[in-house]
This record gives sequence, structure tokens and C-alpha cells, in this order.
Amino acid sequence: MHQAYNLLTPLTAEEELEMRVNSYERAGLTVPNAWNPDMNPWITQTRTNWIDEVFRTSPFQRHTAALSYNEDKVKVRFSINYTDDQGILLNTYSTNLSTRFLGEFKLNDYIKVTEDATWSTGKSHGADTGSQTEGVLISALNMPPSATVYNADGSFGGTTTADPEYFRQYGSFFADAHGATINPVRQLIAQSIDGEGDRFFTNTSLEVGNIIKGLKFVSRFTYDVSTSFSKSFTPRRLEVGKSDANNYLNYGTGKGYSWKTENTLTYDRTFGKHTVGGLLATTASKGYSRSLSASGTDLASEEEYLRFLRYAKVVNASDGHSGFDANVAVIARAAYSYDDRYFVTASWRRDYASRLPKQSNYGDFPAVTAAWKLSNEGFFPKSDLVTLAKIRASWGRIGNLGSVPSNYKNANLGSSNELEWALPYGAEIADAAGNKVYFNSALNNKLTWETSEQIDLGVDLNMFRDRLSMSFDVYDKRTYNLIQGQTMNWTSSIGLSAMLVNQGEVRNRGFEATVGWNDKKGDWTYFVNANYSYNKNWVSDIGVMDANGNKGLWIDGTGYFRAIADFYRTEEGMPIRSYYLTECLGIFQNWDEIYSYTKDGELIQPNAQPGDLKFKDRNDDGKITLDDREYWGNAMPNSTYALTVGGSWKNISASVMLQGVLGAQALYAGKYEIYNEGSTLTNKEKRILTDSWVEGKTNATIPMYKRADANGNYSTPSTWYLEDTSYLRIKNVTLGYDFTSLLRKSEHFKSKNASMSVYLSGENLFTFTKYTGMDPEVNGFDAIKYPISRIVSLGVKLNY
Amino acid sequence: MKKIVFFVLPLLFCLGACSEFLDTKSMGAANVNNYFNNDQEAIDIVKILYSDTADEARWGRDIFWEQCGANDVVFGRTYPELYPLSTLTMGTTEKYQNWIYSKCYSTMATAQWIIVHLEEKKAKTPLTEIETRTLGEAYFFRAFLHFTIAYRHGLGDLGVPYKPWEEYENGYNNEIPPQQPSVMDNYMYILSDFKKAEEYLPWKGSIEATYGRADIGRAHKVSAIAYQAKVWAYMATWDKICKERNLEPWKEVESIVNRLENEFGRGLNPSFSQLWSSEFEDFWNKECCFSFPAAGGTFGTSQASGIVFAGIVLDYSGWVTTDGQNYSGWGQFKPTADIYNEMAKDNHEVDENGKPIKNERLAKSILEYGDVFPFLGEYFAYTDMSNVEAGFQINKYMDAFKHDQAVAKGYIPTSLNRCTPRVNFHMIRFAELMLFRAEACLHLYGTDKYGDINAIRRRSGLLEKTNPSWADLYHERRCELAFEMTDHLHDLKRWVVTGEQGVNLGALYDLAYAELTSHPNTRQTQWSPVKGIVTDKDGNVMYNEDGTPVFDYLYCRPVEKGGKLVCEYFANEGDRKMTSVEVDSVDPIYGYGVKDGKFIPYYARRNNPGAEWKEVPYPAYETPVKEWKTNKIAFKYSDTEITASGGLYKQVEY
Repeated sequence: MHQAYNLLTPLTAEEELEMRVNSYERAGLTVPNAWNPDMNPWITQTRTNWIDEVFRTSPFQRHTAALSYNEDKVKVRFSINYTDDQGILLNTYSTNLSTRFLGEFKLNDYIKVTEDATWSTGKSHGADTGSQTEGVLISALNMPPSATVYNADGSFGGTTTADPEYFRQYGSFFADAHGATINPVRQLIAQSIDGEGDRFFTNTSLEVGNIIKGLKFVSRFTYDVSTSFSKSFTPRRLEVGKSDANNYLNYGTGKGYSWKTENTLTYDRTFGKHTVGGLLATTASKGYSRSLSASGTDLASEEEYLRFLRYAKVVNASDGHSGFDANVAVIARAAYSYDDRYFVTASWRRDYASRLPKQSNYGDFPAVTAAWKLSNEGFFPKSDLVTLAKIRASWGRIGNLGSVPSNYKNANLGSSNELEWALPYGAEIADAAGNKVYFNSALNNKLTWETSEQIDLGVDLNMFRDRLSMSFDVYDKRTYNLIQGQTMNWTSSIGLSAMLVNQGEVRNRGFEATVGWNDKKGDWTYFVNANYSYNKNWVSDIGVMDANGNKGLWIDGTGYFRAIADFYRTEEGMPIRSYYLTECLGIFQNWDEIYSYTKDGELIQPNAQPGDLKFKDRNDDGKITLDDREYWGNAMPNSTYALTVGGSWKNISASVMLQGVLGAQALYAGKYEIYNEGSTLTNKEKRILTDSWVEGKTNATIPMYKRADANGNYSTPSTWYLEDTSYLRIKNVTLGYDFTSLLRKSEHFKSKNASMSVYLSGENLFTFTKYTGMDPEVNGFDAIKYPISRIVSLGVKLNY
Repeated sequence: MKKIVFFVLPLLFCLGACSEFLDTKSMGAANVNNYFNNDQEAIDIVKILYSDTADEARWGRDIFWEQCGANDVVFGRTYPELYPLSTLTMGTTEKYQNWIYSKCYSTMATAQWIIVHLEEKKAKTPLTEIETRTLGEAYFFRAFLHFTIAYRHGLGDLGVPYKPWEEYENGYNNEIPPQQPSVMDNYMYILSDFKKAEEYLPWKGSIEATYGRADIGRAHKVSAIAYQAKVWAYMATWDKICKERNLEPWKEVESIVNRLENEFGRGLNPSFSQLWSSEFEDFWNKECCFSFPAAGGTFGTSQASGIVFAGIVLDYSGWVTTDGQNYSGWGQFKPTADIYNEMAKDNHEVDENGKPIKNERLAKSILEYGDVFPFLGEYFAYTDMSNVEAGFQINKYMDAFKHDQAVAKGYIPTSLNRCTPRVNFHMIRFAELMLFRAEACLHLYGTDKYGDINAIRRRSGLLEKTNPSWADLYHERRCELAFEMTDHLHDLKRWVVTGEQGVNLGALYDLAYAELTSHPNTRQTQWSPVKGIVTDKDGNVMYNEDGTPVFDYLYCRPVEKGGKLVCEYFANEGDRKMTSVEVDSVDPIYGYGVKDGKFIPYYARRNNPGAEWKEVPYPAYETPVKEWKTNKIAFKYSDTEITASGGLYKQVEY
């Protein structure tokens, strides 16, 4: 069972009216007729709580059954898994069925064949939750509470009434009283977004060994094929709000293929106190995907059984192919250890990638590790106090091409196929535009691997008869040749999309500790596991110079939301993707504070009124401009930690897991939408009334709302948006009861070694945080994210 | 053992043929080194130049937002984020300026690419007719987009970033284009491109002879020549530099316009209203030089072409006919009382009551309260019902809406998302060029040598001016070209800058300066008795003798309640609640309720087209006052553009 929690609360109609009238009057504007309760009484009554309408508590089921068969030469395991997840949003679900076959066959003393095959199929009925203008959650917040889910005639309600009698009496429905919002219940019920997917994955390996002692050859072949199919239908929306007189039918289908072969020759042998190991391997892989999509508009009938392309007036189709992506690697590794005391390994791999230009398509990645098991030394005192002591050290490099698209090396013209719209010539014919070709890409012929080089030092320590186990690591990771779109020295006047370049170096230094304690006393067992990690991130080489030879910047183009722009920036010495914001010094409480905030006798914020935000004039030029921005850290937490405590007594067991982060922050950009009356006329969130400034409210956290933003309270990218997202979450609580001993009282079950247990568990039960949005786990940017859900589940586990 | 063979094979294969294995091909995309193999490829790559330029995010709407900085239009809905544009201040939110800046360059990149590759091909082998035209279109759009950036962001002592790709010896190397020392240097490149376009683009005596039905609306030779006149007119802004460089821009303007008139047969269309006709046969008259024709819809499908501006300015609430047809627009720009009053100065006839009769140009350009207009086959009286009351609507592009069943007939598309009512949306027409010639002649000879101003006035039935002056030029250019993509705001800016350089523009400087430093007025309604189109009791519209619908006071129509006929109405000015009264009888012709021998009047505000109004400042613009400084001729570059250039670009100082 799961349920969304910590949701935002939209204003009621009475509250919305109060707020709206205030916001016009505070801006010195005439309150329009639409917000005059005498002229438009419809707006005065709350008819719907839209958040309650779209969310629900929904069931979740998972069933697994497995059968295994073990014999000398044949081992087989077969399992089947079924999941049914009724979504927390009205009328959504997803189901998945998967089966897995695992088999191991010893043909003779030398040859072993294993097969691991998985087939899964899934189906879902979803909703648009991502769109910033039409998503269900933002619509539920924006929709006027005076609106109804349905009109009297059963059709979906819009933002206003649709009663003709009302129109006759009051002269208008007052459509532009509200923003362009779609009834979210309509989105969930009338719009259908259906998806299906299948995947077949097989991994076959052949192992030849024992011919020469220690030598083994493994050849592994995997093949992965997946298909997807989606169909969605959006009916006409004729009600007031965001109407659309067209209906749309969309199909998408795709098929992806990939294979990989891996051939490994290993040699592992112990001669007295010397253990040696060697490995030689090659891998090759190739993959591609194909797609076909079609859409139809203007379907005559919207009945489900007639939602087919042949009933559409206009039909478009387009197909695609990802291009082939091939990769080859050659790997060698040697290992040596002496007397279970000293360990060393060295490895080297060379990767070739088809996506890179030929002259730079390979990269070499070596690694070495060494360890010393102190506790096995003769001089080490044997005692119960310290049972294991080991020191580890490693150095290695790995490469990454993740952000490079397949077939990057080929310089292509872009194209877009527009069948729905015609071109601005040939108006009398107005044929579909068809294929439009353009040039917008810049190819970097020297692009190569982004490489991470890491040094790790570690200590493992077990004490008190292994009841206490501890592991500590410090690391220093240097990532260089970072692959990124060039931002500095790449102006929009170049006219092409930013070129991918290898630029700069980033360091991550940190510390990780894991400590565990477990013990048993009589019927009691208990354990405590804790881990903690600390990480510090900074840019050690920006890799770009400006025209004067000074160190450059990385500008992050994704840093914008509505009118707040350019709030990420990276400079050498700062954490990567730092927030770059004007400091907000609080709220002006009175005119004195505004008049005394001056530079050379001139007001620094001449458009401010009491209740507006005060910004810091960092460069001291007497004006608040973008030049006043400073760095304010980044989204990555400094520390993450988790603590699990559990135990059992006889057949009862219980465990609690806590998890949290420290030193993280997020730009809560959604505040622009839900606390800003200067922008759209949508409904707002409750805190706009409870936490916003009014005279005397010195602890207000939201500026005085009004239908204007002359002071730039909302359009200034300031620290007002930045909030601390440190949190502590009760991630999981589980209670269990083991019925095995009860079960085995029956001879039949006993003979089969059967076991059974029942558990009750709760996930995401509570979160402690100062963050004012729905959920602090937003990765640093929150434009009203989909909420986290609380899951309570009951399970039965039976082995027979 | 067959299995083993199968497993080992991939290993051998890879050791032998790695290089070939990694030489993968992309699918579904044309390679940059193998293009222009046939005419269709040329046609496909030029499409983007047209569709990008005519898009809603460019000339369809977004370039027009800044016009709220002049006094012809105001925002038709509340947009606090955009209000700084109306005060000529640039805050952090001038996203549309930044958007247009970067989009002009990205579209220009394709034009640059076409020019380099077709010129290369031309050096080796003769181009086909289509390829030659494509090359001309590429030059035309490169110049058009470059010109847009140049005059909006460039100054006499600071040009805009530009370098033609053919000037790079080994091909364009992705370098940052250099900022030209003066915008005049940009203009010289632009002129040279328009001249190349003139050379390559076709012309066969008329637009209809030049292009067939499938191609009409493409740029042609005349388009390229017409824009050269406009470029010269903008060059004249920098009078001192023209003198230093021995340029005589106004002489160039005069001779280009003469050439268009004499060699290419351009002239005024006899009718002003017909310029915005919704019939295809009216589209390609001799006044048209370059336009983005909008198709409407293709007979009921969602396909639409051309500019969405007509849908953008249609009222947000729209109107509903008695048979249930309805259509609403986006209501984003509304005319001001200022432009209305300016155009009303040309009224010279009065009706039998002594009230002025609206001149044709005003009637065709603006709808005001109570104006009766055809909509979807019926007549409506105009009223401004949306949240931001201005009291007017732009009427120039409304012709397509007059037809009954306009959607089914293809005059307007079904989709409001891309509302392209059928109209030939002029980008540059000969009337504008005549006004440039008039401006040139006032500079050169102190008189409107060719009588251009009066020719334009005669066409709309206005009284002629004797010896037109600078003030008349201001009036004529503002009124004739109102609500078109001719950039009225920048006309004002270039006039003020020219005046500030010591060129005597007489009253023109003061008029332009006054408009740049004041906010416009709009109309706000008062409570008054309701007026509207009069129907008989069966709902049939009553007509005057001249065939127009009767527009007069409306009285209350009774409804049956509890077996009685009652009138429900606003009895007094300012009433919020309706009064209910039983009537004595119902008028047999008009259907109004009669009580004590009289019709029952009712009062309303806003939703009453006959409501009294007064002229008041547009509410959102009261503060701050607009200020004019010379350097505000140029829009500021975005902050990220300056940062991204790493200090290569200089910023216009504010």
C-alpha cells in the first residue's frame, strides 16, 4: 500500500479570493470584475480540493515463486515474479511479469555451460507528471478551488462554470480570472497514456578448465533485445482553461538490440606460499535501436474502440534509427600474493569506441592494487581483541564516454520532420512542411575519454571475536578531460550548438567509514550497522581562458526557470555547478529600512516597498544587478550517513533503518510558481497567506505578495530560493515473525525443510528536515517535483 | 561441439577486423560532405529559413513584445515580467530579446552553410535553377537576420558580431565571430548579401508570374531590393559616419524606390482594406514586396501555414454565434487610445448628427467600443471583456473571421495553438518604401518630391496635406504602418538619434522624443445603459436602410418565472445585484419588456459595448516614467553572451 505524503496545500476559494483582491490592491491596480464577488460570485465558494481529487492510497502487490533443482551435473533454478502497482495518482497503474531461468550443466570434467535467461513484460497506464505547465501535480495546485471536477451535464469542468444561465445573469464566465490550467482529473481519467514493454536477456557461458591445472577459458555471450509500444490519446478539451479543439492519438514503438561477447583466459595457481593469477580478455559489443512513431489528429469519434489512425483526419508517421554503436576492449591482469599476507595486482585495459573519430578512438586505463594483512604476520599478537587487520591501497584509471552520442564522429545535417504544419509559402496549397534540414552541429575531431584517476587507502579491522567489524577508506579522485559542451568561448552568435570538448579537471576527496556490531545471547540476536561518508568536491582546473588570459568559467545553460535565469556557474576552486546568486538579506520591514539602504545618498532599491526582499549590493555600485551574484556552494551533500539497528528474540525480528544527508541545499524554484502573484493568475499554496509579510510580521519568510514585481523579488536569482535540504529519514521499519518452527511441527513440512516467515514493513515513514518543499531529496533543483510515497507492506515468505 | 565453434568465432572475428567493426555508420541523417545532390535537397534545407523566421517565437509574435515600449500597443493581458520593456529598461527578464538574438544567429548558421557549399559547387559546375534560387534565398535570409540583429543591438561606434563563413580560408573553424567596429560595417555586409540575393533570386514581371501556387510567398528579386532601401534608411541614422565615409544613404533610398516603381512596377494597391483580404486572389498585388502569407487551415484540417499574429491579437474571450460557432484568440496586444486618436485626426466627414465618420484606414486598423463587425457569419458589437481593459482591438487581420463556418471553409484553422487566419501578412510593402522615399526627399530637397505622402492618404480617402512636413511624415508612417512588423519603436529611436547628431528633423524629433518618454492611454469603461445590436423578438438582427445592423440601446427581455413574465436587470449605475420586476407586456417587434408603457433599460460596465468610457493611463505603466538616452537605441546583450565570449564582446553601457 502506498500513499503520497507531505503534499502542498492549495488555497481554498475563500482564501484565494482574499489573496487575489489583496494582490491587485497592493499593486495599485483596479480589481477586475472577474475578482469582484458581486460581479462574479462563482469564485467565492470552494467546490473542490484538487490535491485530494488526484492522489489516493493505493495497493501494491508482489508475488515471487521459485523452483530449484540441484544435482551433481545439473543445477536449475526457475523463478517467476509478478508485480502490480496501483499508482498513487488516480487511475494509474503498472504491472510487470518476469521469469528467470538459471541453469548450470557440467558436460564432463572439463566443460561447463551455464545459461541465465530473463524474460519480462510490463504494462502501464500513466499520467503526465513531468510537464511544467500541464503536469497533474502543478495543475492540481494551479486549478481554482471554486471549479468543479464535472459540469452539471457530466462533462469535465474547466476553470470556470459553464452554466449558460450564469452567463446570462453575469454577462461572462470570466475565463481570464484564472490561468490556463487543465482540470487534472480530466488529465488522469480522459487522457490515456498506455505503455507496454518486453525484454529478453540471455547470458550464455562456456567454461573450459582443468586441462592444464589453474588454466581456465571462459567465453560468454549475451544478447539483449527489448521492445516498447506506447499508445496515448488526448481528447478534445472544450472547457474553459487550456482548451484545445483537436484530439490527438500517438503511437510509438521501438526495438533495441545489443550483443556482447567476452572471451577470458585465466590462470590461478598456488605454489606453496606463492599464489599467482593472470587474466587475458577481449570483449566486443554492438547495439542499435529502431523506432517508428505515428500520430493522428482530429479523430471524428473519441470512443475507445474508434481510437485508431484510420479515423484521424491527419496522420503523420516518422521512423528512426540510433545508428550502430560498437565497442571493443582488450584487458590484461596479473595478481600475486604471498602467504595470505601480501597482495598485489596490476591491470591494463585498452578500449576502442566507434562513437569517437578514428584518430582518437582508443584509451588506455591501467590500475594497481596492494594489500597487507597485518593480522597474519608472525609478530602480530593472536587474541580475541583483534581478529583481522588489513591495510589496502589502490590506484587506477577508468574512462567514461557516457555523454557522447553514438555515431558522434559522423558530421551530419540535422533534420526535423514536420507533417502537421505547413510552410509560410505556397499558402494556397499548404502542404505539410515535411523534412526540414539544417546545419547546427560543430564536430570535435579530437574528442577523447573523460578519465577518472583514483587513489584509495583503506584499513579493515575486525575486533572482539569478529563481533565488531570496521572498514575505513580515504580517497582522492581526479577526473580530467571532462566531457562537456563548451560554454565559455562559445557564444550564441556562433549559431551552432555547443561543441563537446575535453575540458578541465575536477577533484573529489573524501572519507568513508563502515562500522558494524552484531552479537547473540541466548534467544537474543542484535546488530547495529552504521556508515558515514564525507566528500569534498572542487574544480582543480577550469581548462579555459578568457580573451585576457584570465581563468574562465563554465556556464550552465540548464540554470533557468521562468524568469530566474543563469543560476549555475562553475569557477576554478569552487564546487562544480555552484549556485551563483544574489544574496537576499531578508525582508524590508518598513520604509526606514528602505530609505536607509543607500549608496552616496541614492536608494539602492528604489522600487522597493515594505515587505519586499532586500538584496546585497555586493559590488557596491548602488544598484542591484546581476553583477551582485556570488557563489553559494552546490547541491551535493557534504556528508551522507545511514544507521540500521535490528535484532530478534526467538521468532520475532525487528529492524529500523535511518538515512540522511548533511550540508546539502537546493534551489526551490517552484516558489516562483506557488508564491508569486506577479506572474500567473493560478491558485497558490497555503503558505502565501500564512508565511508572507504583512506589517509587523517580522518572522515572515515570503515577501508581501502583490500583482507586480517591481522590486524583482521573484525575478532576481537570489538566495531566497536556496534552502537547506539536509534531512534524516526513517527509511525503513520492519517487523517479522518466523513461523518455521511452528510449521515444522508437521512431519511433512519438516521432511521438506520448509520455512515460513511473515513481515510488516514501512518505508519512508517520516522525514526530519527544514526544507519547505515536498521532499528534500531533489538533487539541488525543485520545480515542484513529484512527491515521494510512503509504503506500508505485509509479506509472507515460504520455502518448500 | 558445435557450440564451441559458435563461441570462439567472435573472438577471431574481432582480432582480425577491429577497424572495420568500429567504422559504424549513422542512419537517417545526411552527411555534411555529401549534400546538394539534387534539387529536393536544396528545397529541404531552405525550408528551415522560412519556418524559423515566421515562427511564433520570432516574427509571429515574440519580436513584437518590445513594441510596448512605443505608444501604439499595450500588453493585452498581465505580464509583469515584460513590463520593463515598456519603460525601455532592461532588467534580468528580457528573455524575448535574448531569445530572438540567439535564434537569428542559429538560423543564420544554416544560411551560412548553404552559401559556402553552393558557392563551392557553383565554382565547379553550373547550378540548376532551383539551386540558384536556393543560393539567393540563403543570401536573402542571412542578410535579413543579420539586419535584425544589427539595428537592434548595434551602434555607430560598436557593431554586432558577424563574419561571413566564406571569408574563412579553410572553412568556418567555430571561432567567435568578431564584433564589427561599427554597425555601419555590418550594414555593408548586409547590403552586399541583399545584392547577391537580388542577383540570384528570380523575377518574371510580377509575383504571380515568378512563382507558381506551390512556391508563391518565397523571397524574390523585389524582396531583396526593397530591403536594401530599408538598410540604407537605417544607415542614415549615423549621419556623421556617413559623411566620414562619403555615403549618401538618402540618395540611395530615393533611387532604389524609384527603381522598384519604374523597373519592377511596384505601386500602391488601389484599396487599403484589400491589403488584408482573406481571399487568395487579393494576396499578390503590386504593393506586396515580401510577406508571410497565412493559409488559414487546409479546409478543416489542422494544417496551417504562415504567421500566427492574427490569432495572437484576437480577443481572449472571443465571441459565440447564435448557432454555436465560437472562436477566441490570445488577446496579447491591444491598441492604445494614442494611436486611435492619431488616426482619428484624419476623420473629415460627419454624419447627419454632426458626428465624425471614421476614415477607412482607422476603421480597418482598430475596433473600438460599439464598432459593429462581422464574425463567423454574424454581427457583433465590439467590447473588451478581458482582464486588462484597453478598449480596443487590432482590426487589420480580422478579415478571415467574417466568414460563416470559417473553420470548415478553411479560413481559420481548428487549432488555437497555431492560429493562422488567412491573410497575407506583409513584412515590407511598397507604402513603407514610399514613406522612406518621402523621408529621403524631405532630407534631400526639403519637400515630398514624389507626392508619396499624399498618394498614400488619397488611397484611404483622407484629405491631402499641402506641402507635407516632418510632422506629417511622423503621422503618416505611424498610422499607415500601425501594428505591422515595420518596427515603429525603432523608427522612433532612429529619428531621435539622428536629431541628436545635429540633423534638423523639425517637429519629427520632438514627436518621436515625446512618444519615447511618455506612457500611452487606454480606455476604461463606466457604468451606462447597455447598447448593442438590436434583434426582433425572434432573434433576427434588425438592419438599417444601408444594410448595416442596427446598433442602439438595448432593453431588458423578459423571462417566464412562475407563470409570470419578469425582467431581471441592473436597474442603476453601479448595481451588483439584479432587480426583478413583472412586466405589463412584451414589445411585438423588439421583444423587450414593457412596464408602464416604457422599455426597461439596464446598466452594465465592460460587457456593454455602448458603455461610456474615459481615457486613462494603462494601469500597469504608471511607474516608472520612460526615460530616453541615446544608447537605448540598442538592446543590451544578454549577460551570458558577454560571459560566454570571455571578454571579447563589449557591452553597450547603460
